[in-house]
Amino acid sequence: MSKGLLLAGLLTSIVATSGIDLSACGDKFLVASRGTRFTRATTARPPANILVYANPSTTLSKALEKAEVDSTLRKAGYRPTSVSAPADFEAAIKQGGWDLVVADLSDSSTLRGRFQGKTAPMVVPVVLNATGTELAQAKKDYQRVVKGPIKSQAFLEAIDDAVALREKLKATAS
Amino acid sequence: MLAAALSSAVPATAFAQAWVPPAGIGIVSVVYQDIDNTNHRLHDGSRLDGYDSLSRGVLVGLDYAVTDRFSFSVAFPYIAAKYTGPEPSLFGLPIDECLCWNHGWQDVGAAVRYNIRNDAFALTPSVSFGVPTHDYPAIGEAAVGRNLKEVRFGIDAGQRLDRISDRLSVSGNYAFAVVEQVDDISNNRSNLGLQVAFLATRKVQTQASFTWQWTHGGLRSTEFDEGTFLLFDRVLKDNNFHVGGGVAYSLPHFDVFASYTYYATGTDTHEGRAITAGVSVPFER
Repeated sequence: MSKGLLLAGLLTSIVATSGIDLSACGDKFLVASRGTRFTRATTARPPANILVYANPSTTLSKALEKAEVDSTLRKAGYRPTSVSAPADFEAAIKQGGWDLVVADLSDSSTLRGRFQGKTAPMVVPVVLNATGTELAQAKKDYQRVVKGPIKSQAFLEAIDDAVALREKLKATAS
Repeated sequence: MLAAALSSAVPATAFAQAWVPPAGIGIVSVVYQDIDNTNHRLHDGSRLDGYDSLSRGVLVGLDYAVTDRFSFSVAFPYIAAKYTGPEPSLFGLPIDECLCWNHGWQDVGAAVRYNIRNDAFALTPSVSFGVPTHDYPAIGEAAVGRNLKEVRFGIDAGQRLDRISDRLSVSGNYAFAVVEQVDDISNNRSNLGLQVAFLATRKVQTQASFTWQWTHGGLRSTEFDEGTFLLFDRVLKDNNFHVGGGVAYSLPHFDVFASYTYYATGTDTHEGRAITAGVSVPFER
């Protein structure tokens, strides 16, 4: 009789005589759903109107192109409008109804001066190739900033943050 | 705020996922799990005290979304297990009798998913595989796994419950596992999971989960004989129901999560609990 059979016989007899049933020993790792950011239910976003101003005299235009931010924002449920020519930007501003205006940091201080009051859009500067000091200053000056380099999901998260803050401020004001 | 990570108590390395990341997003995860098998459930569901064991594992995984619809994941679990008694082990094997940790790589897991819908409603079928990394011992409480290949066909569905709250969602998953036969004994399995998740804030999700396992085929603990006894762990008809809860928190550059799973009922299964904690780091192509 092989050693294995002997062992099997012995074990079987132990079980038989002890009246004990054995049980599972096989599950050594249970995989749990994690609930992390990309496994959650899609976020129900307010249909915020977002004006993205890619001034051609800044590096923002190229950076936004690579990240396909327009389609990312649209897929997420926002209503983005991208303009690059200053005349188009002025026309869009005149039209009004914007919740956020996204622009290069170098344009943002001028824009912020133009948008005052309860219904004014929130200016969200995009900070590209900035030093740590410049970034820290931008964070002080603005309620929310988008930090480069721009990648679509990181951009979306920054916009989500800004929209959430704007909604909160609007609710507080009303 | 309770969104807890439902522990899909699927003994596999692919987790339930109705909603999927967008194209170009990858996620590297490191998960630690501590399982305390405090008792056994017998063939009739009654409890058998003693014959306890512990297992601790670390899972390193990568998920990557190739497109908005197609994604894949791979994962490598390293498991340590130990028989703790207090009685002499029923198998009497050195792996158990030494009361020491037995450890090693377990089964590499891989999954491919194809998302069909990914908005308030999500639907994602998947196929996943589990393949032992090497020919490790599979008998004894301190074995690191069952040393069986398997392929799983699954479907995950989820619905955000906007009528109640757009922060609340439910999701469910079903998977049928075709498991390598041992001595021509079929040991296929169905796993069903139900999760309720609540997004407490934009950064925090809590979840509650309920999972069931039914083994199709296999042998009841009362059905083993001399010829099949040494196949015990590999072909046992392990049916169980687990409940769990968890929380995940998103920091700017990574997520942390933790969950607790309680082995509520079952037949020919363990009684116990599992504590899971991990970190996942997303990256963008």
